[in-house]
Amino acid sequence: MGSGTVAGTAWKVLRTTVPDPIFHGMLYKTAKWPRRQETVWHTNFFLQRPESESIQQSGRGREQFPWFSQSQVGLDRIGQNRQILHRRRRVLPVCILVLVRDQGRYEMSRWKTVLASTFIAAYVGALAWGIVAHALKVGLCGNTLSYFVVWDMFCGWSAWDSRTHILAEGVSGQYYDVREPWGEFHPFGHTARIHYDHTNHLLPKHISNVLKHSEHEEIQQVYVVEEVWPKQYNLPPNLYDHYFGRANDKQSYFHLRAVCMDDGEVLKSFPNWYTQQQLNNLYDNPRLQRQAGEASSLYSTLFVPNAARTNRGLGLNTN
Amino acid sequence: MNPAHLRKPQPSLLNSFFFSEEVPFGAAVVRMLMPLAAGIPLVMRFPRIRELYTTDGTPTQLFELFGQGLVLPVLSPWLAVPLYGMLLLAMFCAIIGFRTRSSLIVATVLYPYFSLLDGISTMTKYSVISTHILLLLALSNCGAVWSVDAWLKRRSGPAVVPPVPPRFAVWPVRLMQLLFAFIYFGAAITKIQTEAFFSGEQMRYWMLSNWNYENPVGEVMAMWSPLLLISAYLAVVWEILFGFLVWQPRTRLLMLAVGVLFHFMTWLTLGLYVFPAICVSCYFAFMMEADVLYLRHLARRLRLAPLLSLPVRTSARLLNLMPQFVPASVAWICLLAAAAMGASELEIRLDLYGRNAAPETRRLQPVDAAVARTMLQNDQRVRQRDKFFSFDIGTSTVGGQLANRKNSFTYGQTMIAQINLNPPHEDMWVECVLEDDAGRIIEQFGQFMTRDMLRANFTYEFGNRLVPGHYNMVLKNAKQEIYRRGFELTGKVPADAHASTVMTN
Repeated sequence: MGSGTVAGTAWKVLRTTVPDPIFHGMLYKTAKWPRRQETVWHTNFFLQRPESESIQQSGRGREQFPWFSQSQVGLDRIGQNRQILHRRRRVLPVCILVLVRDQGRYEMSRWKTVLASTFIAAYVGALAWGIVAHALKVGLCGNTLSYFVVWDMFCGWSAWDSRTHILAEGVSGQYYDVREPWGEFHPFGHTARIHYDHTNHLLPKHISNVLKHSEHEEIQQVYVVEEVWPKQYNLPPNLYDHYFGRANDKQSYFHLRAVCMDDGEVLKSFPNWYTQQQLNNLYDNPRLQRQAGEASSLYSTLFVPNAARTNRGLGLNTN
Repeated sequence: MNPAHLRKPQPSLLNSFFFSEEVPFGAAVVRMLMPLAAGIPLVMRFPRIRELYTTDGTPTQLFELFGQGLVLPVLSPWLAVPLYGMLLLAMFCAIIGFRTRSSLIVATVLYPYFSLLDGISTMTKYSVISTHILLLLALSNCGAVWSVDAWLKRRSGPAVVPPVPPRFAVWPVRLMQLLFAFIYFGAAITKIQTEAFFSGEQMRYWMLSNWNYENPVGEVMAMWSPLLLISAYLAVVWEILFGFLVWQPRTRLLMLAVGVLFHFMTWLTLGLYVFPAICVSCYFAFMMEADVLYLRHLARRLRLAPLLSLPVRTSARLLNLMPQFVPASVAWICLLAAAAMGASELEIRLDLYGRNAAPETRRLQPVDAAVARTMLQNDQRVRQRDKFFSFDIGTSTVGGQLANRKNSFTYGQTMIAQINLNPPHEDMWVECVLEDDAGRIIEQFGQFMTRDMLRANFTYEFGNRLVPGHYNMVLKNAKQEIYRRGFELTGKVPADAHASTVMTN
């Protein structure tokens, strides 16, 4: 391309003004997609051709794109530009104008780049910290925000299914099912929300809320009962019979978890059924029972060295 | 415009990875799909706003579950319900791309707020992923294409539409991609650390759970232990490799296709609906410009363009009805106000607690005293049979799990009788008894199963002591019959075969 021609001058201008990513991106796409008329960028994905056609048919082409010849109006505009750039080597003013105009618009300024880089570093750092903390089990306990960067889906399992039942005992001795009269909320499938409360944080609020918004006699105590059963009994009868060769004779086990007041305040609480079984299994050992019986009942002695050092009292721990 | 203030992209690999410029087609698709997937559970929770997220209900913050107490302010229904309505509208506006960035900022603030308020049933890992994606979408220019904003800009802009759609640095999309690489890598670490994941028990029990939605296929697959084992290894290998291969042009589609299959199977076998929908919708963050070109070219070749353009044309017609003189920002604010008021009105009319209903509808249901006493007696002992999951006989194992269940054997084969236990259980002595069809004991053997064991095998080699016929392998524990598996022995008794032998484990 001769430097003395108009096209050559325009090419130089274009090459110096168009940002490299855009320029190389166009080159790349042109090389990859030889059918240039079809590789048209437009925000309207499927309407490019009809819109071009409509421009041509409406006769508005000459008015809107005076730099296009009549034969060019019906073509895709970016395709036209590419043809100009790479096939015909004819640079039309519109191409330069548009690309020069877009240069400043789509390129990041320095402060934006600095901010973006900072954010990228912080974000990737947080994600990486989550991986390391999860792998090494550090920094997770008591750190709620770690939930956002630790990916421990399905990290545990149990062979037993469980549900929570709440029974209220009225002053008359009548028991009531403490269940929302307005209907249970099932967040996923058919299991009510209260059953997902494995840590019992919801339980007091739930009891209080249900009793507050329901009609009942005066409540004396509220019992929280855990129901458990082996998960194999969740199979439908035909599958159960097929796999296990016997009838599905599911039996649930009930275990008292807590005793509460009518406002949900916990009076007594007990380990859950699973933990209780593990403790029972562990304690079912005469040697362990003997050792536990012979062991000291206190962890600390009565002497507190720090108190003795500072001469404040005799160092006796009265707490 | 001062060129001195502009930063030219550096030719380094990292710089081009984050700061090369592309048209944000992928981010636009994520913007349309992800809020849709995450918004459906929000809509379903709408009648429960008062119960889940307000002072008139039982919000239990995630901070409480982590032992940090009440960190977020819990609002009264008069404030929380309008905010929830605004969140729903913001999600909808993000989907259609109307005031996209503002809508996404509103959603990025309110979505995690409401999720954190209900750590029991709203905050899940899909909420976390959605929060990440909303944040990154808010930082991206996902509304620049395929959006109402883009259409409004074209309508109000100059007559000449730029030939090249707006292009922006790809770093928000790259962070979305990196997020998924980290998610899968972290999930692989979880699986490696999870007890009994690689022996199949973990997946089996999850498939038998009813904590998610319906999963009838999972209930069937739960008993195919070898398949679970193979799937477990494949899943972990894929999760580790994802971050290393998804940016390689040759393996990108493979990684994504396996990912789609993986999430499809979690829907099928575990009953997960929202999580796979969100993850798969975010996979469009991996869609680059060249992919859009290819799809467009393909649609043209298949002559699908008129069909696929139908919704675009319809929406264009609808958008043309919008009056030009109303500024979009004003319209958006009016819509937010309308959503807030509408949500409040609707929530009051729903009357969750039935305050305006008859008192009978709010009455607690009495429980039969005998039933209540049964539930409260607290001294039930676990049946012996409930300590055992299964007892099966076959001839081969995969990864320690019985690979084939059989009820017919021939001479020369070795029978494997496998016991699977339901933890927790105590240390036990279990017996396997071989009986003929008349109930006469032929062989009896046993072994200890300590509390840490999940399974044990009895191996029985058919020698020449048995004659062809029907037999039973009976599992016993604590003098009780737990399981009985019948089988048929066929063939000719070998004359020179050695005697039957019994081995345990």
